[in-house]
Amino acid sequence: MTIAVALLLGAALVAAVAPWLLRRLTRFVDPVALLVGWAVAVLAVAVTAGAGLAAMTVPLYAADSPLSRFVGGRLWAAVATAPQYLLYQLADTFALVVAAAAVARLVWSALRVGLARRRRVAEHLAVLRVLGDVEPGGPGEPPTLWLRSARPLAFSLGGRPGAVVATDGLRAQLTPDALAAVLAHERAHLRGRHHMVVACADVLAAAFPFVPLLRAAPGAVRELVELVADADAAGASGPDALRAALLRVTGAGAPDVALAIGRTAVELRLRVLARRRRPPSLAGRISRCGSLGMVAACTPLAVTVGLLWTASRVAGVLG
Amino acid sequence: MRGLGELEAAVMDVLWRSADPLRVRDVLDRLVRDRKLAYTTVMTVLDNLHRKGWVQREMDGRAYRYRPSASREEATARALRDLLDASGDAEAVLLHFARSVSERESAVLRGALGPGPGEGRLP
Repeated sequence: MTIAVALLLGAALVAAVAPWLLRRLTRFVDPVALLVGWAVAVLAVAVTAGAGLAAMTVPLYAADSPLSRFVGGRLWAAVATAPQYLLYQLADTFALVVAAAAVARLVWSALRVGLARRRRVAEHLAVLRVLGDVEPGGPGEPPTLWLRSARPLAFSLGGRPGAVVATDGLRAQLTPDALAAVLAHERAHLRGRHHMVVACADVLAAAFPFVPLLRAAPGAVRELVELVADADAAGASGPDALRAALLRVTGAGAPDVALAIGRTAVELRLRVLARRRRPPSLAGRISRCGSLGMVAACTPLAVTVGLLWTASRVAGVLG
Repeated sequence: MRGLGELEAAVMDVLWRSADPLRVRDVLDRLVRDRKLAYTTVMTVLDNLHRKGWVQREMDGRAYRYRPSASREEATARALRDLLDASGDAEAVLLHFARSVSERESAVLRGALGPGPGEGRLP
């Protein structure tokens, strides 16, 4: 039981603190590595919490004996001698109910959010296909849908196949280089399946809004996929072209209205682009993803062990 | 399903290019396609488009004449409004290059900022 509680507490602590830490890193770390960090942190918290619930269901003392003996003999003695049969029974039932509720919420949220989104995308795409002119993409690349509108817009819709949508207004306002950078940015979203990543974050947040890590994920993930797509586009078309496009599209020429929405993300992107020297090497990227992933994966377990150790010390002092 | 969507797009394109309302026969003649389409196929597509509100029709003799409910530019503007400005759809279904300020938001902002030097110069 001690271990079960420590595992759950460890998961809860990491779920509360990790979003704050990961947010701090956004400005300094390769966005791909950070996306991996978020995913692994979510997974590690889920696995730790699941292990905690599983430990609760293990009958009686079996779960506690080896590790507790290792961690602290005195606490174990207290646990072993107490008349706790009823408590263990309740914990067993509690763990099963919580686990079943969590799975049910996840499935419900995936169906509700995921299916609704897929339907909406299909509806919008059907309309836009009738209105726009399709420009076929290169081999293995998605087509671009050109709309006749003066609004300078570019966006991508996920799905298979997804589509890049852009307007004549955008083409009129940007230089060919900047336009190429914008389209490269949108194609990077589709190639990287960013819509899917965002949808997963949304589903998790809708299922467990009371978990800080999951509540913070959609916003952070949206920001990170923009940075990832920026890095791709800057590699293809050069950072200057992309900066010019960002400044132009966000209406830097109209300062009174430009303070509206999404400015912080755009400012962050501009700053990252300004700092960028050369595209990250594959080896460097893999090693960064690996190290950050390892840290994220091990943190809940490390916190759990720390809690157990502290508990045994406290028990030692009291006993 | 996707084939039908393409056919709808092609039929709308024909109607948008034409100055006058067209009969099914006219649409069929103007469709440039690899394979010959059946009259009834085009009629079904036009019927669908009418049901969805894309086209209007009026009886002319024994046949309907079809014309677009709105110009391509108007329909595009409306579709973009539906997608970007209304509800939380945009946030959910698409990834923007960068969120420029929407028409509605800039109107709200202009209202909040009070009459400025830009007022009155709007088209």
